[in-house]
Amino acid sequence: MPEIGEVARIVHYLKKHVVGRTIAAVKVQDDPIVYGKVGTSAAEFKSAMTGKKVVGARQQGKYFWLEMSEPPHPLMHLGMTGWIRFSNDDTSWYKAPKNNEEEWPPRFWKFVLEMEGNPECQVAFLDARRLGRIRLVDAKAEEMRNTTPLKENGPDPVVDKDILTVEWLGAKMRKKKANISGVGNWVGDEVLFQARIHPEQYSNTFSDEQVERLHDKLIEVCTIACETLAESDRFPEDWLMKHRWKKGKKDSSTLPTGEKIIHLTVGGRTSAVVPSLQKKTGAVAGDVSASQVNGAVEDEEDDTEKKPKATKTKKGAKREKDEDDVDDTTSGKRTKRGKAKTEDADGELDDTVGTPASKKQKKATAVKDESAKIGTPKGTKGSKAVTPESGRRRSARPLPHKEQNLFRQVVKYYEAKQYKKALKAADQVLKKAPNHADTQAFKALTLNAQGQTEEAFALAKIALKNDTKSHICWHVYGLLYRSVKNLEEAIKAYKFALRLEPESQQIQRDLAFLQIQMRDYQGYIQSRRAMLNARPQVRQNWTGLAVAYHLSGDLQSAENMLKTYEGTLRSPPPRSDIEHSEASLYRNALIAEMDEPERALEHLESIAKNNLDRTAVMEMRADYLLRLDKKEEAEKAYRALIERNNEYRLYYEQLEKALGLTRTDSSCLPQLLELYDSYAKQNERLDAARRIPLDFLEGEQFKTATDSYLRRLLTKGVPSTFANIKALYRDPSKRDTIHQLVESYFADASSNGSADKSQANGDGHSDRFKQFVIYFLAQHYDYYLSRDLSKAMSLIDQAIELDPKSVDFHMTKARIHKHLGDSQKAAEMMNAARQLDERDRYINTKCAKYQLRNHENDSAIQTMSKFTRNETVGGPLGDLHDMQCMWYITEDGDSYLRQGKLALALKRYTAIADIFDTWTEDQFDFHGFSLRKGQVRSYVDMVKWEDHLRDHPFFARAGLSAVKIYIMLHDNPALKKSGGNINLTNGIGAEDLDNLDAAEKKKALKKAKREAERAEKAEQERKEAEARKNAGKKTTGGDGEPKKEDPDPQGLKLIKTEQPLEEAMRFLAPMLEFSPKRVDVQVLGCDVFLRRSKLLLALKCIRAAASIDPEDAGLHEQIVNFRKAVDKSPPTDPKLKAVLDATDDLIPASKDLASFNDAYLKKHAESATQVRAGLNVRHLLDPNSKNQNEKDLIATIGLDGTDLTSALEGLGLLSYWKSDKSARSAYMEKARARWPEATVFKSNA
Amino acid sequence: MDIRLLRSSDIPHVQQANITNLPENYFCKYYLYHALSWPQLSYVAVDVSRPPKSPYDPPKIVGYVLAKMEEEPTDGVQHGHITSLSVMRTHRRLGLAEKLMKQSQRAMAETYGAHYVSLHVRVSNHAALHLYRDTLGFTNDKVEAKYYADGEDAYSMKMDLSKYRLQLEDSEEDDDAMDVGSAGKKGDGEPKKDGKKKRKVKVGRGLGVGDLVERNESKPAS
Repeated sequence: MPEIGEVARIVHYLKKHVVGRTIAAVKVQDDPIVYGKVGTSAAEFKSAMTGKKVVGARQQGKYFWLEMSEPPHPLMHLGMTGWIRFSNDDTSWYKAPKNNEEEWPPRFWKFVLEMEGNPECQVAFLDARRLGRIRLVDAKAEEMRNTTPLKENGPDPVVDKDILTVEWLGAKMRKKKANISGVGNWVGDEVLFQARIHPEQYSNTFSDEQVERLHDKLIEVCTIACETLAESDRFPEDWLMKHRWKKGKKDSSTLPTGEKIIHLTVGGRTSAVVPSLQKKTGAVAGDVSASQVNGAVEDEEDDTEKKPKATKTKKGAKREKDEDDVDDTTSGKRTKRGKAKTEDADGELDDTVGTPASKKQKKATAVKDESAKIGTPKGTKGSKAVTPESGRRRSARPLPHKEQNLFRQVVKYYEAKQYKKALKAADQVLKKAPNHADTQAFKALTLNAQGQTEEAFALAKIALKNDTKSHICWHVYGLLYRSVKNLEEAIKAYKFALRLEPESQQIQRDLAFLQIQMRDYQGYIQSRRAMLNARPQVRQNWTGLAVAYHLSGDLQSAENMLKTYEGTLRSPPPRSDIEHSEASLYRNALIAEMDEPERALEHLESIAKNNLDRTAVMEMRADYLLRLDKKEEAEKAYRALIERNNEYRLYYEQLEKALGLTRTDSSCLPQLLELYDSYAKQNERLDAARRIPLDFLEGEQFKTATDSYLRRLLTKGVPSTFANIKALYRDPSKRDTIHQLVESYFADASSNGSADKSQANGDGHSDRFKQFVIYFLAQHYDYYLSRDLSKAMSLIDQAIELDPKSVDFHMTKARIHKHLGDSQKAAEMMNAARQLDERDRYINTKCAKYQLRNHENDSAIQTMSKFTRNETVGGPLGDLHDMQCMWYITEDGDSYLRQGKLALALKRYTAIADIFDTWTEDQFDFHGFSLRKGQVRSYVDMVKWEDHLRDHPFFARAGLSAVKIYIMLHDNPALKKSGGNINLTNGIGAEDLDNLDAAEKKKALKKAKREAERAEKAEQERKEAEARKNAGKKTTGGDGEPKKEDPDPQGLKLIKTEQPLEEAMRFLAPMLEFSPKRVDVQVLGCDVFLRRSKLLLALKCIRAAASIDPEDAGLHEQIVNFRKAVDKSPPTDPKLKAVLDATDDLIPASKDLASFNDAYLKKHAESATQVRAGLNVRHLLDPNSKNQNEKDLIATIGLDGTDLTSALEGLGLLSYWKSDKSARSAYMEKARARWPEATVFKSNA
Repeated sequence: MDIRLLRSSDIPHVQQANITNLPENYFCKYYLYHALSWPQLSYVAVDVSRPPKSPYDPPKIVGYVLAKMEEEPTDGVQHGHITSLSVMRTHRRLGLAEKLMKQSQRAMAETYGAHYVSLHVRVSNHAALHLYRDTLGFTNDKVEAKYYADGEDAYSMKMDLSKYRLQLEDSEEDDDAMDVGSAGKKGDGEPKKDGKKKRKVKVGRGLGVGDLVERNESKPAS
C-alpha cells in the first residue's frame, strides 16, 4: 500500500507533468464509493476540474492534493491499491509494470485528466479495490491543512518537522497514541526496526532514549523514503524493507547478516520484526498472533498508534509472574475488539477500514479509545475494565465539557495506576458536580487500590444511591467485592451492571469467570451462551460453552457444541493448529467419558493422524481397545506405548490384561516371567521390567529374581537401592528373604576382604559393592519393619569408616539417632552431613528439619537461609511463605506446638490455610487463559483437582493441630493471657495457673509477659535492621507486589480470639468435607461439636468414625463424651430427642458406660494408644481412679507395640490429669530405661 | 518408579520436591502455568510402591521435569526450555533424570515442532553439568553472565532434537504408506527428507500468554 514515500513519488510526478498546466478535459467513472463516500460525485469532480489551472501539488502524509488556480481543490488518498499513472511517464513503484498495464486508460481508472499543451499528457487515477478517496475541498489553498480531514490527522514527519519534535512524540507515547500522517505498515516496521524497538512493546514503557531514537528514525526513514521517491533500490542497504519480502516467502526471510525476520500480528497488522535486534524492554501487547489474523485486515488509517498499557517492569523480578499479567493480555485484546466493533457498526465491513475516516466513524473510534478500559484495583484478579461509555448512556446528570474531560482523566490515571492523580482529577470533577456517580465510583475504585477498602465501599454505595441506573457504578461495586474476595456479592453486582448494559462484553466476561470460580455451573452456562452469541466466529467461545456444559455434567451438550463448531469449518485447519488439535481430543475425551468407547475409538481414528498430542492419542486408543475387548490390537497398542516409555507401570498392567494374564493365577507365572524378561533383556537401564516381577513372585522364584536385582544395583553402587525395594517389606517372608540375601553378600564381601586385604584395596569394584551392601543393611535395620537400631548404628559406622565423606551415610546415621529418640544427636549428625556438601539443598533441608525436631527454630531458619532470598520482606521465613514451602511452615508449627508455644504454632498453621486459599485463587486467571491457549483437557483436569484441593494431607496435618489449639484456647482462656505459652520455663503450665496461689500466679504471669516482650523486642530489632539494609530498595514479596510487614508476626492476636471454636471451623469444615474418611478428622469434629453443643453434628461424626474404624481410641473417648453431654443437657426438642434416643447401637446408656469402658480396656490391653483412651475415660467417669490410672499408664511403656511417640503422648496425659511429680518421674524413669537415648525423657522429670 | 505426565494434582509435591532440592523456587501458579500451557511437556517420577497412609494420599513425587516452549525465541527457531529438573537425593543414580528428560524432549518435538531444547545451569554445579553434558548430550552454548539472583553465571546449554523429529517424519511416512497402500504415492514422501517438510506450530503467544513468561528462568538443577 502506498505510504509516505510513494505519495511523495506521486507528488513528484504531478509537479513534473501537471503543475503549471491547465486541464483541458476530464473523463470520469461514476463511483459511489471512491467519490461518494466522501460527499462528492464523479460529475461534480468533472465540472470542478475542467478548464482549471493546476498551480501546485502538495502532501500531508498519505494525503495529497492539487492546488488549483481557485477552489475547490481535489484532495486524494490512494487507499490500499490506488495509484496515479501518466500516459507519458512511468510511475510504477516497487512492482515492475505488467503487460496489461500498458493499456490506456488503465484498468480500474476513476478519472483521467487531459492536460493542455505539450508534451501530450494524460493523468489517470486508478484503484482496483476502491479504497482510495477523491474529494473536493472548498477552501483557500493556504487553508487546506486546516480543513477536514487534514486537520484531524497528525503532523507529517517530513513536512512538519517543527511540530513533530522529540518532546511532542515523547508526550504522545506516554499518553496513549500519536497521530502521525503517512506511516503505514512498511514505514512503521522500518522505523521500529531502525530504532530497534519491538512492535509489541507498549509505548508508555519507552525510555527517553528510546523515544529519541524513535523520533530520529521516524524523520530519517520518512525523509529518505520521500527523497528516493520510494524506489526501494535506492533505499539504504541496512533497511529492513530491502529484505523483508525476499524470496516471496514470509518465513524464510533473513537479513544479509543472518538475523531472522519474522512476521507478527500486532494490533491487527502484520509486522515484520527482527527479534534478535528489536528487543522488548517493557510490557508487551498480548494480542499478538501469528495465527489469528482473520481475513488479514489491512489497516489503512493514517495514524500509527501504539497501545499503551499499565506501566510495569518485567525485568529483574525474577519470580515475578502474577495474575495481573493474564489480565493485561485480555485488555490488549479488548482494544482490538473494540475497534473491530466500531467498524462493524459503520456497515463498511467488506474491505475496509475506512480511509479518510468519515466523521462519524472517527468520533466513534475516539470515544472507544478514550474510554478503553480500566485496570483492576491491585489485588483484584478478575478481568478489569469498566467501560464508561457515558457518551452513549444518558447519564443522570450530564457533565459539562470540561468535567467530562476531567472524568476521562480519572479513568486514564486509574488505569495507569497513577492513583494520586486520579484522585485529584476526581475531586476536581466532584467539586463542580458533587453527586456525579460515575466519578464517585471511580474514586472508590482508586481508594480501594490504595488500600482504603472501607472508604471505597462507603463511597461506592453513595455513588449507587446517586445513580442506580449506572452500570459503571454496579460494575465498580462488583470489582470492590471481588477484591475483598466476596465473590457472591460481586456476582450480584455484576448481574445488575449487565442488566443495565447487556451488550458489555467486559461485564459479561467478568461475571462468567466469577461464576465458574464459584462453581455456579448454570450461571456459567448462561454467561457462556451469551458470550457465544455475541461472538460466534471465535472458536474459544464454542469451546467455552462446551467446557461449561462439561463441568455441569452435561456431556452430550458439551460434545454438541464442539461438533457444531467443527461443522462450520469450511476446510480442515492446518495440522499445526494446536487449538484444533486439542479441541478434537477434548471432544474425543468427552465421548469416552460418556462411556461410549466404540464411538470414541471411531472418532479417535478419524482425528489421530493429524493430532499433535501423540502420547495422548496412543494412550486413549489403547484404553478404548482394551475396554472394547479387542485384545490383540490392545496388546499392540500397549506394546507401542511401552516402546515410548518403558517406566510406566500402567502400560505393563494394561498389557497384562490385554494378554489375559493374572498375577495371582500361578498358571500365568511362566508367561508373565517371560514377558518381563523379554523387556528386561531389551534394555540394560530399564528398571520397571526387573522390579515389577518382585511384586508378584513368591518363594524361590522371588529369591532368584531379587538376588539378581539387588546384585545389579549394589554392584553399580546405587544408593537408592533400599528405597527402591523397601515396599516389599510389607510381606514378612519377602523381607526375610531380602535380609538373608544381603547378609550373605555381606558375609562374602567381608571374608574376601579379610582373606586378602591388600588385593581388595586395589579392587574398587568390590569395595564399592561392600560399601553399598553395608549401607543397605544399615537402612534395613533402621527401617521400622525390620528395626534393630544398635545393629544399624554399628553398620553405618562401618560404612562411614569406608567412606568418611559420604553425605548419604551420615544422613542415615542421623536418622538412626532420630529413631533412637536422640533428637539432639540427630540434628548434630545431620548438620555434619550438611557440611560435607554445603551446596546441596536436599541435605540442607534435612538438617533444618532435624533442627526443628530438636526445638532449634532459630538454627533451623538460619540453615534454611542459606538457600532463600533473604531480602524478601520477612527475611528467610517470609521467602519460605512466599514460595509456599509447606513442609517448613508445618514443621515449624509442630515444633512450636511441642514446645507449648501455641501462638506461633497457630500462626504457622494459619499460614498453611492461607496458602490453600491462594491455590484456590490461583485458578481464577486460567478460566480465561486456558481457553485462549486452547488447552482444554488440562484445564478441566485442573478445575476438578481444585474442587477437592483441601483433601491434601498438607491441609489435614496443619488443620488437626490448629483445631486442637483452638480447643485448648476454648477450654483454657487463661492461655490467652500467657501469650499462648503452655510450658513456662519453670514447668508450670497455664492450665495449672488456677492451682497456684496468688503470688505465684502473679510471678508466672509476669514472667510470661516478660518473655513475650522480649520476643517482640527482638522482632522489632530485626525489622529495623532489615529496614536499614533495604533502605531505598522497594520491598517486594515473591510475587513482585509490594508487601506489607505482618502486623502480628508472633500470632498473639490470633490466640486472643473470643471465638476459638468458630475460628476452628476454618480448618475443620474443609477437613470434614474433603477428608471425611479420616477417622482422626471425624473424632476431632465430634470434639468440637460437643463443645459447641451441636449434638446432631457430633453424632454424625461419631457415626462416620465408627464406619471407618469402630475400635479407634479417639472414637471410644468421644462416645463417652457424647453420652455425658446428652446427660448433662437433655434435648427438649422432641425431634432431636428421637434421633438421640435411636443411638443404642453405638452409644451405651449412662449406667453402662463403666462396663463399656472396661470391656474396651480388656479388649485392647496390648495397645498403648487404646489403653490410654480407656484410662482417660475411666478418669473421667471416676476421678478417684487416678492412682490406678497412673499406674496402668506407666505400664503401657512396657507393651511391645509402644513406640516413642506413643510414650510421649502418655506423658501428655499425665499433664492433663494434673498428676503429681512422683507419677511423672516414675513414668519418665521407665521410659528412659526403654529408650535410654531419647532426649525427651532425659531431663526435667 | 513410574515416569509419567505431570497432572495438576501432582503440583503440591512437585513444588515440595523443588524447594527441597533447588534454590530456584516458584509458587503454585507458575507450575499451573506450565501444566496448563504445555500439558504435554512436564513429567514426574513417582514412587508407586509405597503403602498408602490415608485415603487421600497424593502421589509420592521423587523427581520431576518442568518444561515449556520458548514463546518468543530470540533466534526465531521453535524450541523448548527446561525450567526446572530435579530428583530427590534418596532416588539418585536410578537414571530418573535422563528418563524424565527423554519423555519431555520427545513431546517438544512431536507436539510443538521444537528443533532443540535449552536450559541453564550454574557454572559451579559440576554434578548437573556432568548430567547434562555427558549423560544427556547437551552442549555448552554460551555463558550468561550473572544469570542467577546471587550473581553467579550460568551456562546456557542446548540439545538438538532432530533425532525425535526424524523419528516423527519416519513414522509419518509409515503412516502414509499404510494409508495409501500403493507404491505410486511413494514420491510424495520424498520431499520430506529434503527438510522441506517443516511444520509450523504456533505456541500461542497471540492467545495471551506473552506476559506470563518469566524473563529470567531459573536454572534446572543446583
